[in-house]
Amino acid sequence: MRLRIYKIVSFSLALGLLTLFFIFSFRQLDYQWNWTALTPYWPKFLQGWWTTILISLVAMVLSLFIGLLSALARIQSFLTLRYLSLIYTELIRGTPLLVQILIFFYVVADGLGLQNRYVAGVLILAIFSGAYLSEIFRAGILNTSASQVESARSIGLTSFQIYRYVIFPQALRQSLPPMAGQYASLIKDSSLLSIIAISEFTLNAQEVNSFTYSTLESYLPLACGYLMLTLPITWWMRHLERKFVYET
Amino acid sequence: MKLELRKLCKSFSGQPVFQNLDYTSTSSQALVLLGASGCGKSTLLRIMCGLLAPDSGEVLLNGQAIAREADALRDYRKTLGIVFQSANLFAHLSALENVLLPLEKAHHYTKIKALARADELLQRFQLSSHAHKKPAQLSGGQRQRIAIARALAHHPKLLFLDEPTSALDPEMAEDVLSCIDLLKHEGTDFVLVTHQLAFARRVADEIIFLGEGRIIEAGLSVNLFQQPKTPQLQAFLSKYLDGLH
Repeated sequence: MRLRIYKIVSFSLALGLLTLFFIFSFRQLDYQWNWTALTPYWPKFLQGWWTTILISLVAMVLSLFIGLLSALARIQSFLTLRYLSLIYTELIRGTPLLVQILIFFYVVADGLGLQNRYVAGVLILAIFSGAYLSEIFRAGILNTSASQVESARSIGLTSFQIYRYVIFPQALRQSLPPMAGQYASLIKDSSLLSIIAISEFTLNAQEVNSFTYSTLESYLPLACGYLMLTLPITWWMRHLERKFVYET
Repeated sequence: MKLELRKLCKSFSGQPVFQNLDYTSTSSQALVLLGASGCGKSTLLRIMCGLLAPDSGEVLLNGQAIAREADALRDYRKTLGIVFQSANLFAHLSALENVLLPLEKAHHYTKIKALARADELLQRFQLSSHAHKKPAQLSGGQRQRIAIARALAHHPKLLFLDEPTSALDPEMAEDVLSCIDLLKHEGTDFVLVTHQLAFARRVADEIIFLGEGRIIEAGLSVNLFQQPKTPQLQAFLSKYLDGLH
């Protein structure tokens, strides 16, 4: 109980200090707040926020499949598949998302005749995030200790059964916390899709800013909107970390 | 059980572990592999139970050579029970699920039949109250007893135990040893690798003493413990058995 009170007081103190720092910074700026200018635009914020949620959700599901396939390809004995996965993950993880969006949208999607920018946007995000998930899953699979695999062989399971009943369940548990972190990143990364004019949360905030010239009033709700999506994921991630810690 | 080793060789990255092992066991119930650490006892046990392929030579169990082909080898392993030093149990499954998994997936028991068999074993080893705990919530001794229960569940024709007590403190080790005593008493055939010399003396019918990449001495346990012929075994026994006489 005392520890709990100590934690609450410490957290409030930390939050209070940061709040004071920001209040001080804003005071120095001598900024003229004009929140009323935003009133007609709240539905626009909301619409952008929904679009961000939808794009992120679809991209999350797609990236899960891409990541799994790529991780599986990476542990195959067929070398071409393995190299395909290796090149994919290194290329995506080594280049800025902004460049990938531009190249995919203006070169690849155009070349393939993919006109819908929303579909293209979701695909780019999924491909981007899939590369990171692939590495997370691969690490999970490789981290399943050799002794667990030997134990599975000793009881007479087939290779498929060893993957199905031993390696995958253990790899998945290990992968969940970093996976949640990757999903929080994906939501924030979706803001870059604004450069190909996808009407998501960030683009809408930018537009409100250009209509009202109220920069901070437009961007502060943007930050809050993203936090509302990423914080639950972060909390879920902490919960998973605590839940699985005894199993390692 | 009758085990035969014929010109068995094994090396790891060019370093020979042992060469040309030749031995035919008498029809004993408990065969114990002895030797200093790193002499290849565990490697030999892994080859005997079909988890590791020898470089050359072969192992025969009851006159039948161990297969080399993957599917046949798996079928062979399914007739055995194997217990390792540690990390036997699957970390993500409860004690009960650990016993059920091989019964249902490798031996195709129905759920009801598998549950009945698992319950019976957990009761026999006084582990019923721990059935739903994960391995990390169990003590080392309890984990090994569950591992033994799992290895016995499908009525294997032979049990292999690779230093089942070496990762345990003495009290927990005693738990596991009394469990093996019970198996001996019930007539289960087993091959055991152990450093517990006093225990080896108690349960072994037959001993293979490994060292210098070969079998230094082997034969009936009584003979080896009472009249060791080679200076190596004499030194080994006096080193580890001093104070136990």
